[in-house]
Amino acid sequence: MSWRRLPRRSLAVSAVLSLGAVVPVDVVVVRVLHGRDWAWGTIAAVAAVAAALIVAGVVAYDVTRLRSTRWRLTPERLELRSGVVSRQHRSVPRDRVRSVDLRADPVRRAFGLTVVKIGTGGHGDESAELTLDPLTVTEAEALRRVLLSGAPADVFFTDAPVLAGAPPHEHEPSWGIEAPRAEGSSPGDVPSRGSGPSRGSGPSWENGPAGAARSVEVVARLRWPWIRYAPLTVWSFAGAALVLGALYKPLDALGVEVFSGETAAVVWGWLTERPWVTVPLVVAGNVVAGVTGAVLLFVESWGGYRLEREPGRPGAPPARSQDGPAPRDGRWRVRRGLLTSRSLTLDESRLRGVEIREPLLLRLGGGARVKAVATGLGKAPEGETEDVAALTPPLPRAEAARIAARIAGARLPESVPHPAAARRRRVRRALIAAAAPASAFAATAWWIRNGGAEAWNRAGGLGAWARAGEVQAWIRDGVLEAWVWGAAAAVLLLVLPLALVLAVAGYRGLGHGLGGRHLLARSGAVVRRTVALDRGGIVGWTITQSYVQRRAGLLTVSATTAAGDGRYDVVDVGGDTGLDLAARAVPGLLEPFLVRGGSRRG
Amino acid sequence: MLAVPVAGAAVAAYWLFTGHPVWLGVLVGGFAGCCLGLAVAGPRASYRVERWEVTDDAVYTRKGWLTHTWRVAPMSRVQTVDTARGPVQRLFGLADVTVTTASAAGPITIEGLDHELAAELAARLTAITQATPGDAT
Repeated sequence: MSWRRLPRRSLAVSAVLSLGAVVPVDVVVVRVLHGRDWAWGTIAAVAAVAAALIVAGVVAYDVTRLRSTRWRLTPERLELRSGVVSRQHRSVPRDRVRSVDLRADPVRRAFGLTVVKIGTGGHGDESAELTLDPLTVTEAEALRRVLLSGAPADVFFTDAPVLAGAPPHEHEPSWGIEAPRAEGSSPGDVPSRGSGPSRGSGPSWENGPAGAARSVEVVARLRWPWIRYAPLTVWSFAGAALVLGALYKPLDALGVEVFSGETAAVVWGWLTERPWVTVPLVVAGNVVAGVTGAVLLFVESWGGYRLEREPGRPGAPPARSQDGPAPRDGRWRVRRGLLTSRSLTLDESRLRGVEIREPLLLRLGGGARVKAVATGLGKAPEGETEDVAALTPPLPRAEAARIAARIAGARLPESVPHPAAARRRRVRRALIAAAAPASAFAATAWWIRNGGAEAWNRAGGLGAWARAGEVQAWIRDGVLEAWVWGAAAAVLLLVLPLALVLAVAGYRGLGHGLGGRHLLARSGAVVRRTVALDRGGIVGWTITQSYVQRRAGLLTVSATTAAGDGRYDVVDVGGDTGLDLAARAVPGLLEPFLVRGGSRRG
Repeated sequence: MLAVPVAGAAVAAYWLFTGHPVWLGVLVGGFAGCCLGLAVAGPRASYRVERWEVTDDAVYTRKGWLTHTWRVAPMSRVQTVDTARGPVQRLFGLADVTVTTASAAGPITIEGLDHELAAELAARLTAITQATPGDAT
């Protein structure tokens, strides 16, 4: 059980990555020195020294980091010692490991390295994850398999690269069967994936001891026609502005002043000269840029996408899910990424359900996406645009339903619509939302008409600026009143229909269902979420009934769970139906507290 | 609980820092009256609606006056049991019992129990929880 180090190739990676910091620093150096009329030779020398210092500093830091980091895998635990300044020793029981996340940006990929994050459940942000930055791809792949299969770690240790600098086989595999090794193969010589010696001597990572029986089932892989769903996000409309914002900083550093007064004046003059031509042009340009951005993002995020299920070990005991309905011991793996490759592996027995998400634009386009409801998923890393739990790119709704059903391991239950009272509630809410501002505007207009504003203004209520003759004339001639009436009408004409459409969509989005294994909850007007929650993963119920719901005979049943968002709501379900649903979904839990034959409970 | 000090502070501020305009006086008086009314009626109202029950299988609470909230957690999913007593609660011999499950949706709290009962309940919950393994994370 020896401690292992991180691969030294990491130094090369950090040297390359530090060039990213070198470029802006050198640009600044050149600009400043050139401004002071230094000779070009001197400038180049200074820039080179600055670059060398940065690279050396980063590499030196990385050397200390690599020296101070050790990790090991024992039969029970995964341990990590790290920290340059403050040392820490973290130790995670192997049966707490919920997910393994591999991520390699283009530089690390070129060096055959990858960053490993091990999710362990728990709600703390930092403590929920353990990061090994980086491991070699082979090590990472082996670790991934071993951690989530519950297999003995022999596969991993017998043929793994040894501690740098340590004599080969100073450590011995301390448990399990030592896989036979081919004599003469050097310990550092790791078989490449899938091409292990065919004599069955050296364990290869793809065909481990369990052999070819572990066939990987590919549930979905990328189809390029799906790219048509990529632009169906709000980012397509806000995109260009964001790109400009992102470009502003580097351009500014390079000395290109985008937003100087002069250019702004030119742009403004051009815009106002012929607004009917230029404004649509700008809007169209924004949309084109946004759509292009969304498509490029899709290509980068989802290129090479595969969703696979790796079955559990044939002879292994079923995963511990004494509360789960059936043993599920497979692992789900999402692989994606054109430049930065990402791989997320989830333990199936820790999967508490699956969610189909249909945001408004995507829904109108007939698309949907699938998310996992799982414990032990950390936060998305900086600069990552996809949700960590995302299992699929946006894809056709039928395909999403198929994948969701496959992941859930059972047919998803049918969705039962909710009582009409729920629709009445939504329509009433929409009417109030539109009527309140409209009547406020109308009341203001009426007040202005009756001279209220004029009198108030004379008394100084509107402040000094409003005492100017112009403003007084507006009020006197009814211009202000007309504007306020206009606002009231606009609210009625625009907001009301929109609110009503959303209310009806919200009602149609409501639903619940109960299947052999899952509780189905559906809701959402803008983002429609259909969650199939594993009934075995429900750790309690919260039932709420507001005053309005009580009058309408409705209530909201929330299943609380350790996974995903922590609670999933069945919104505005009929009183008896809702309680019955909760009682049937987890037999024996709610029943002692239910009084049958009415909605009265004690 | 905070209603009495808040009402007192409002009245004191009116008395000390303002020129005693009548409209503000009426406003502050009304506010203080509401606070005092709340202080008297609030605990009675919540005492009327709040219920709790612990069986061998589950913890159950009910609270809320305008919005009713019922919560149930099965014993097998309970992770920790805490009791807490603030200074005022100690004065009246009361305690809160907090039952935490694995869910991020928050713990279940039973407020204002007699402290001996609370200690007894915590001990009982702990014993039952130990007997039932697993927390479904």
